[in-house]
Order: sequence, then C-alpha cells, then structure tokens
Amino acid sequence: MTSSVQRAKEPVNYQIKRALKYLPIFLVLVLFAFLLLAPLVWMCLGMFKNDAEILSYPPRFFPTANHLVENWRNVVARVDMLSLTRNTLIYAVGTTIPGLLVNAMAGYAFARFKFRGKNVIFLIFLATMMIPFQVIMVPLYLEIYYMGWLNTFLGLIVPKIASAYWIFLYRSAFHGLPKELEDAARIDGLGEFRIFLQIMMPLIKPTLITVVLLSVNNCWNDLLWPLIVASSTKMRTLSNGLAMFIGNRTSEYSLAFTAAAVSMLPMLVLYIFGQKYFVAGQATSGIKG
Amino acid sequence: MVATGRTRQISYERRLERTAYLFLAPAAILLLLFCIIPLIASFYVSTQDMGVDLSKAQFVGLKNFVKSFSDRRFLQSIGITLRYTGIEVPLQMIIGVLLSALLTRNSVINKLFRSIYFLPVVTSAVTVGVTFQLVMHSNIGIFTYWLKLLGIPDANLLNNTSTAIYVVIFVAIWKTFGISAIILVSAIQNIPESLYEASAIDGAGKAAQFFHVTLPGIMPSFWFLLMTRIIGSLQMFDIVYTMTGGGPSRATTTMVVYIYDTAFNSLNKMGYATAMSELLFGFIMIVTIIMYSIMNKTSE
Amino acid sequence: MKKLIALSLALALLLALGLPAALAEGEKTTVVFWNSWTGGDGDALQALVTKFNESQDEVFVDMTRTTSFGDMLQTSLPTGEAADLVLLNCNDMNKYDGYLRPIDDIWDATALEEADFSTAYMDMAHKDGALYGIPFQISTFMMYYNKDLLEAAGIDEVPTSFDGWTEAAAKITALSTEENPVYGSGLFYCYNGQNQSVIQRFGTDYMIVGDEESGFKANLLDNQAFADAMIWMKNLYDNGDNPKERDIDSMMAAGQIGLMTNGGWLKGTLDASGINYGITRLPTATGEGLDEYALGDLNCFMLTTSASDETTAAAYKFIEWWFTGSGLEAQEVTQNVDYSGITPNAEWSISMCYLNAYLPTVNSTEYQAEEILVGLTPTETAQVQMFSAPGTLFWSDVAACNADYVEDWVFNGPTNPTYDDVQSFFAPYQDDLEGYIADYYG
Repeated sequence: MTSSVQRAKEPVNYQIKRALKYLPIFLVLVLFAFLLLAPLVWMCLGMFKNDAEILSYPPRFFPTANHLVENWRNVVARVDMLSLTRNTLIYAVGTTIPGLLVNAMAGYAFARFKFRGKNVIFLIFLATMMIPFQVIMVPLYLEIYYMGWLNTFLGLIVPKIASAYWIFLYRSAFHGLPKELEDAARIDGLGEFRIFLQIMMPLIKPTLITVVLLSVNNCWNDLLWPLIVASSTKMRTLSNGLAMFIGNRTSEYSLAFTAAAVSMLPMLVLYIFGQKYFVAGQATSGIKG
Repeated sequence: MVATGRTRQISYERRLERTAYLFLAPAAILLLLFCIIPLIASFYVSTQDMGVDLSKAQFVGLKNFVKSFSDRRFLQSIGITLRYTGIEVPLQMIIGVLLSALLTRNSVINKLFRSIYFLPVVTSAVTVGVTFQLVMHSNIGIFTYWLKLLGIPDANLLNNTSTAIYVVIFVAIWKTFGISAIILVSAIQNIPESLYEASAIDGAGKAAQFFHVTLPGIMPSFWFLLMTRIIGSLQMFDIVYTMTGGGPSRATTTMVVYIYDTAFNSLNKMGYATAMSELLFGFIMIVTIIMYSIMNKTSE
Repeated sequence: MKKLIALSLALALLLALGLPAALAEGEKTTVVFWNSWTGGDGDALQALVTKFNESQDEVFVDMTRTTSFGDMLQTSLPTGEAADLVLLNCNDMNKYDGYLRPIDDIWDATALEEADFSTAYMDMAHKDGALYGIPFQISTFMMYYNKDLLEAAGIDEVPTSFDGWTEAAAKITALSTEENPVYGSGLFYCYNGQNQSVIQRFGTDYMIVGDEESGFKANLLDNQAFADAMIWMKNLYDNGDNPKERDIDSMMAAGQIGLMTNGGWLKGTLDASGINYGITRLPTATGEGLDEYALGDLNCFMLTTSASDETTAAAYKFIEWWFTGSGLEAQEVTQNVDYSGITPNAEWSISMCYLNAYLPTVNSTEYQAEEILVGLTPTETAQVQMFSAPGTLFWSDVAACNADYVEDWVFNGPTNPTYDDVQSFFAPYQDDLEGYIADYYG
C-alpha cells in the first residue's frame, strides 16, 4: 500500500522538480523574448496610433484610440500595395527557388567531393561576399544594361540567384552527413545527380527550410538592388514603397509603421508555416536504426 | 590485374572530379558573371581619380591607397569597425549557441520562442532605424521613459560618443540573432538522433551530451556562422546608416559607412572610396583565409 | 516540399500574368521624374504631379521618390537609362557634370521668360554660360517657436537676436518639471543645414569664400562672428537649455522645445501634432538686418542626358505648368490659404514657407500676404546659399565638414570656451578645408 502511494506521488514530484529545473531556463528565454519583442510590438502598435500620439509625452506603449483604418487608407492612397506585393513576390520566389538548386549543388560539391583547386575555388566563392555591394554596384549595373536586362525581372533575379552565403551554408549542412549513405547509393547504381537530389537533399530539410525563409526574407527587405536595376514605377517593390514614408527631413511614422507591419505579415506566416517542417531526428531515422 | 584495377580507380576519381565541376558550374558561372567580373572592374576603378562621369577618369596609380593611410577619419573608422566586430560577433555566437541548444526540442513553447526570436529578422533596416531612434529617444522614447520609472533618469545612450556604439551592437544582435538561432537549430536537428541515443546508453547527462554530441555536430554550421558574422560585421552599414548616421561625432562611423559617404556624397572620390574598400576587402580576405585553414584543420 | 515549390511557382506565374500593371497611359509622352522628396512633402508633390497628369492629355509625368536617389542616378546616368527630369541641389551640377542637359531653349519652347526669375538664383542655375536648372524650391530655414511655451515663460516678443535666443531658452527650460521636461532651444547637433543656418546668420559669411578667378579661401579662423556662433552654441548645450539629441523634430512635435530652426518640411508634422507654433525669420547677432539674407539651398528642375528631344519637350510642358498652371483646388496638406486660382509653384512655396525665385509668384497677392517671405526675398548681392560660396566645386565636402566640426565641438569642445579655444579647436578643420581647395583647384 505504501509503495503504491509512493509510486503515485513520484511522477508528480518528478514533474515539479523538472519544472523547477526548467524555470531558470524559461526565465532566460522570456527575458530575451521581451527584449526582442518590445520594440517590435511598439512599432506594430504604431499602426493604431496617429503621428501626434506616437510623438506625445509621456510616451505611451498602447494606443488610446484606433487610427488603423485611417492609416491604412492613407497608405493605399499613396502606394499601390497590390502591385508592390506582386513584384516583391516574383522577385523573392524567382530568386529563391532556382537558387535552392544552384547553391545546394555547389555546396554539395564542396562538402562531398575531392577535386583539384577545391580550396582556392572555395575561397574565390567566399571572396564574393567580402566586398561591400555599393562598390560593385556600378559595374554590375553596366553589365545588366549591356545584356538588355534593365527593368526586367530577369535582370532583377538572375544576378541574385547564386550566393556564396547559401553555398557556404549548404556546404556546412552536407558536411555533417555520414559518408556511408552515398557509398551505399553508388553501389545501388544510382547516378551522382540522383544521389544528390533524392538521397542527400531530403536529409538537410531543416537547412533547406532555413534557406527558403532567409532568402525570401532578404528579397523582401532588399532596398537598393531592385531600385537601381528596375527603377520604373511598375517594377517597384514593397521595401521601396515603404521607404517613401520615411524621409531625410520628414517622416510619417504612423504610415511607415502601418506599411511595415503589413508587409511583415506574409513573412510571419511563411515562418510559422515553415516551422512545421523542422522535425528533429526524422531526417536520419532510416539510416542507422 | 593490378594495373587495370588502378586505372579503374583513377578513372573513378576522375569521374567524380568531373561530376564535382559539373555541380559547381551553374553557381560558378553566375558568380563569375555577376560578382567576380564587377569585382575586377572595381579594382580598375580604385586606380582612377573618378567621379560620376566614367569617361573623365584619370589614372593615378596607387595614390588612392597611399592617401588612405594618412586619412585620420579612415583610420578612426577602422578602429570603430574592429571594436564593433570584436564585441558583436562573440556576443552573438555565445547567445546563439546557448539559446538554440535550449530551443531544439519541437515543443509548442519552443516553437513560440523561436518565432519570437525570428521576428526582428523580417523587419527592414529602414524601419528598424526609425523605430530604435524613437524608442531610445533621450526625451520622448518609451525605453528611456521606462528607465526613468525604474529610477534611472536621463538615459541618453544614442547621443553619447561612448555608448552609441553599444546601442548599434544591441540593435544589430536584435535584428540578426534570429538568423543565427535558426541556422544553429537546423544544424542541431540535422544531427542523427542515434548519436544522442548512443551517448545516453553510455550514461552521459544533458550537459555532457551538449559538449560531446551537440557541439561537435554543429561545428560546420558554427564555423559558417562565425565566418559570415565576422565578414558581415566588418561590413556593418545599414543599421548605423539608418539609426545614428555614423554619429555622434563619428563614434559609430564604421568603414563601410565612411566609404559610402566618400563615394556618394563627394565629388571625385569614387576611386578613393573603391580603394578603401579594396583595403577592407584585403583585410577580410586575410581573416577569412586564416579562419578557413583553422576550420579545415579542426574538421579533419 | 515539391508541393510547396509548385505552389509558389504557380502563384508567382499567376500574379505575373494575371495582374498586368497598366500605368503608362496610351498616347501620352511619359516623362520619368526622380527625386528624393520622401515623407510628407513628397506626398504634396505627388499630388501636384497627379493634378498635372489629369489636367491635359499629352504628357504623363511618372514620378519616383526615393531615399536612394543618389545611388539610382549614379548607376544609371552613364547608360542613358536615368530619369528625364530630376530635382537636384544646384551645387550638384558639378557632380553630375557631363550628364545634365543644357536647357537654354526652354525660353523659346515655353511661355516662361528668363527675366521673370530672380537673377541671384538664376546665376546659380548656370554653369559655363549654359542654363541647366529652373529653380524649384529654396529650402529656406526659419525659426519655429512654441507659442504656448513662450507665453508660459512670460516672453512677449519672439527673440530677434541670438542673445535673446539664449535668454528665452533659459526661461523656457526653467519651466521644465519632472513630469514634463522642456528645453528652450532645439539645435540638432547632427544636422548641418540647421546649424549652418544659424551660424551664417551670425555674419560669418561662407565657410569657403572667394571665387574661381581670385581663388578660394577657408574662413573658419580669425573670424569673430564664427567664434561667437560656436561659443553661443556650445553654451546652450552646456547650460542644459539645448538637449543633446539627434531628433529634435519629434520633441518639437511633443511640445518640448521652445525655439528651433528648420525648414518648411516640418510644418506637416507639427500641424498633425496639434501644438501651437509660429514661424518667423531667424535671429541675427545684433537683432538687426533680419531681412538681409535667407538661408537654404536651391533645388532645381534639371534634365539629364537620358532625356530625348521628345521627353525634353514634354518635361518643359510640365515645368511651364508648374509656374503658370491653374485650376488647383486647395490641397489637403496645406492650411489656411485659399489656393484656388494660384499656380502650383505659388502653392508649394507659400504652403511650405519657402522663398520663391519666380517674380510673378513673388508679386502675387497671395505671396505678398506672407510677411516673412516678402521680407526675406533676397537682393542680388545677398548670401543665397549655405556652406560655401556659389560655384565651389566641393560644396558637399564643405557641408560634410560642417557636420563633422559641429559634432566634434558639441561633444568634445571645452566648456565655457573662449575665442582662443575656438581658434585652436578649429585649426584642423581649417586645414581640411584648405586641403579640399588644393585638391580641387590646386
């Protein structure tokens, strides 16, 4: 009898113990979440305020009246949100999807093959990350011009597809996979490309998702490149439309925050959607078990 | 017998080598066209005295490079960039590794935290700059106001030559921390579960697992992050430009901010600005080569 | 994963095909127009451009305003793919030398006459005898003051001298409470235009004086007015009457600033904030000669070499409309004046409190009713711009130097500075300026 009572109690004790152990971790996580979230929430709440309220003293965190409708009306009256979103979407998807294959292939080659000049080629690839974009901006623009790609989605997208950053990231991801995998596949007579596409790629799914998220996000917030190669009004992207509310001399904070919050939404949805695909352990379940 | 075996071996390696080049080709062609050719063109620019009008460029040899060594503003910007990198990168890496280790399990609450940590990544630099200028404003900022309510009056971090750089560091980590976290989380999730099981059978605790399984497993990604963070930090531009404009009194003018100002707010200094960025490029290159060789040694 | 890719590809394709953007209109000649007027004043400008597009059916002005204006121009000018029409500071004529189109034929092509423009400004729009710009806006700096704060501090007269500014600032700062901090004076340490607008009103003359023939000279040292200005400024910061803050506009809008200097672009923000403010001329050192010169940069309509003869002709039509067009209704962004029947140029300048260089506008009853503007309209000999004498090649370097030394001085200068402190502190900056002269003219 005593033993059965103890048995019933133990898990509860254990749970409390575990919760207590987890508490400091939880508090650290909450503290970080607060630091990260507070400025952002303040910014997003800006879409409910008007400029007078944003700039009032003492500052208030929460809005006192709802100006969202008025702000949103002003935003859509000034910029064509639909066309901006469409252009941004084409730019982001057009860059990310081909980039997924091109960069993963290169990263895979660096991670899994031995070939002459590997280190040198890798360093040359890396070197493309090291020079500030503003420096190669003018020559790059001239090149796009000679190719006749100005003000086209081709000109906007193609130069952005290959990126040393993603290649490097893929290289790191492929590096960690066990060697037996491809050897087994080779013995099975699979071609190298099929090994890559059907065996190796699915194994780095968390990394693939990460790249999709970050790459789409980069395009989403890219300010300078779309503006210089695709300067015509009908090619304008979201971040450029948004920047119009923030000037050197005068800013319309309520509109800027409204537009910013709205243009963040799709990225947020994408992220929450993408999280579903992070599934620990699943990637390797078929190999060693 | 032996001979044929060897030739087969060689041809097999050759074939793999050829496959490797084929895999590299698309990315290599794109990078060559859209990065390396413009990069080479920029080397040419750095030997010119040149403004907007490319046809009026004059060859000046290495004069632009020589000039930069006696430019006190350029030298100051190097110091600021190094200080920024020296503080931002280690902080970002330590926080990144620790928090991502805490967030690996796919529990609902972890997913929530991961979403929160990722949120700032999706903001644009322009909005971030304006937001923090207002939040940290010395008088009407809500952060300053909260500090006042907590008994810390007159916090004026952005308008102080010694603290402004720390605000920039904070905002930079705030904005990019989510990237480090999800890259590390995905790296941890790429680690085969079986390794953890094996170490558990060996009787390893959570901490031991972290040091003996997790850390070695994420080493490639850790190196990736470290190197790209350093490269990125040495090129710090957008947050400074939108939040502090390089001030107060140049206390946050990083190298790229100075280069950008020289190139675009001055008359005939495209050549000089490019020369300075070649120097920055050279410096980053050296750092990267050193790190790359360390990385190769540790991963073998 | 495959589904995700397929889905997003299909979506992109659908959007690309299904929603064609039809912006350029039928038979109209499209004039591509770029400028950096982002924020509230950019909206007012876009509203006027839209008015023009609706007013006739020959020309469509396609306006892009962006903070990356300089980057866009710099990349696209060499290829001839830049905008036809741009708004440029007239000092940037040198920077874009070779890519700007001479527009002397505008007088033949339109009803505009050269004699209708103030010669002081027209000279600045010329280079080597050719006309490159038509004055669009003189971004005039004025004194903004918070009427309620002045009244609460018992100040009846708005200060007209800089000593008066200091006195008033102290009185206003004294109103400060724990709950609501206020400051009498609102100089931005980081904003060179603002700082120079008060420095130059001390009578310092330009930072670079002279002309191309007799040579240029840096003007920071052995300059009593300049020393006075810097001492005045430093004391305001050190007394605590002027906050050390990058963003004074927001504090003005929050009702925390008594006196400040800024241009008409601030009006929109202040109107929205609901504070009770006034605008008047900036003080001078003695309190006299208030009308002598107004300070601000001249921005011009300019045509680039990317413009064809056809788009140039169309752009001329727009410029002509800007000065002579009619049929405007009162704009939402402007206040308390009936704009029906006045030209876009007049509306722009009166509503934003900018000086005007177009004499028919200056002589109009609406403009004449604006006391500040009428008083300030400059003579031929007056200082018409800031930082460096008109015609200096390196205006932007001088402007950047100003930002450098003001910040350095505010943060690192000695407290209670003397004339000698100013001389020793600014010696390196004098050298910098001399260096620029040697670089560009040596």
